[in-house]
Amino acid sequence: MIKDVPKYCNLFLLMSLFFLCSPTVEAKRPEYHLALKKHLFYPAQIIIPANKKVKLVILNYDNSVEEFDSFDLNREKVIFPKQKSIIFIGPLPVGEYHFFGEYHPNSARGKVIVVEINNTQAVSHDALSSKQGGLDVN
Amino acid sequence: MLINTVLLFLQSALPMFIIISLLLLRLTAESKSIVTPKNLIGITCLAITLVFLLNQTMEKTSQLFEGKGTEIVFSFGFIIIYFCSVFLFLLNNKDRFIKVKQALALVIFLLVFSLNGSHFMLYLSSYWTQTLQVESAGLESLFIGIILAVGICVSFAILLYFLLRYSDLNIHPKTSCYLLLFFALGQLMQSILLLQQVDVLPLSYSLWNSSNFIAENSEFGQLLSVLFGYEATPSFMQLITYLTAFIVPVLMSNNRHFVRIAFGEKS
Repeated sequence: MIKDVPKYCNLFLLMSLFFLCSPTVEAKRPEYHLALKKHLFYPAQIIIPANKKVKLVILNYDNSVEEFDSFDLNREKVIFPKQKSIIFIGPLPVGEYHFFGEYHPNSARGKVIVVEINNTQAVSHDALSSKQGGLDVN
Repeated sequence: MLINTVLLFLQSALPMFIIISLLLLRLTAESKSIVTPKNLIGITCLAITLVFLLNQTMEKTSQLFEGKGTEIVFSFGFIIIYFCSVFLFLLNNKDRFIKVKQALALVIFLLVFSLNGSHFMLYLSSYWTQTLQVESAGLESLFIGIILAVGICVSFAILLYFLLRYSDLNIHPKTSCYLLLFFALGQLMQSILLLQQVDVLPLSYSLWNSSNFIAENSEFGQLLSVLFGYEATPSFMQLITYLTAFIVPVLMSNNRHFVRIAFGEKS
């Protein structure tokens, strides 16, 4: 069966294999945590630096499935009960980006606030983290 | 709830209906068609089993690769759909490579059905249980929404089938082939988005934002997204991949040298 395939398809097959097997490298990103409890996001707003890629760790403390959804951020991720999920966002220009839980869009809402940080201000990610408050979910 | 259900269907179930139309069109054109009642029952049973299995293992899959499992597994599936569709596009000779084309069509159908179906099942079951908990009236909306959405999907798939058949016969013989390629590009775009979401592929700024013109979360936006891989805020990588993934197969199929090799003709 395969012998009948034209030769130029072999070239495409090679390209396919190259694409499928291409190695990936993950760099260390600033990490931000988001918790979901009783269909509410904690904290409801996250402040992140502009023009930086960040890692968002979402923990679902509820007993039901939820989907993190954001049209502004172009992200969609199912979070299973009592599980942790990871997504990466950015680099983003300054602004506000809303997100919500698809199954509880009225209660589970929040936003990512992207702020400009210049070098002279020397504001670290830890400082930003302290600005947005702790994860008071217990 | 009603609109949510319709959107949910368009997002998850419409690709299944569209790929059935496209593959039926390609395969019924063959002299030895795979589309027989016996085969259809077998393939449907296999597809439903795959949907069920994937749905049951989705929670465990999501925890693989440090919480990136779903994205990696699904994007791998979408990439395979793209490459199989491209092979089907390239092997566009009516009565040759029938076995290969049937095998490719089967892989595409099963992957599209299982990937989209498992997501759809998850959404539906979650909506169902959570709606029952919150409001009893929601169940009615959900039921009506499903009926409406199934009606839209079935009507659209049938209309698409006959439009493409007409176009293949009267306007351009490769219309359905090109639409299959665009559909595959849509699947490839989904895989890129998923891989960017978990930082396997590099993230970058959006080149433009056409949300004000056609919002991706609207009914029309969803339809364009399924049919052509429409993206309201594409990144540079998405644009380059889209163009390359379209141009390379088209050039290959139009290249006389390739065509001669493919059909065993002497120059």
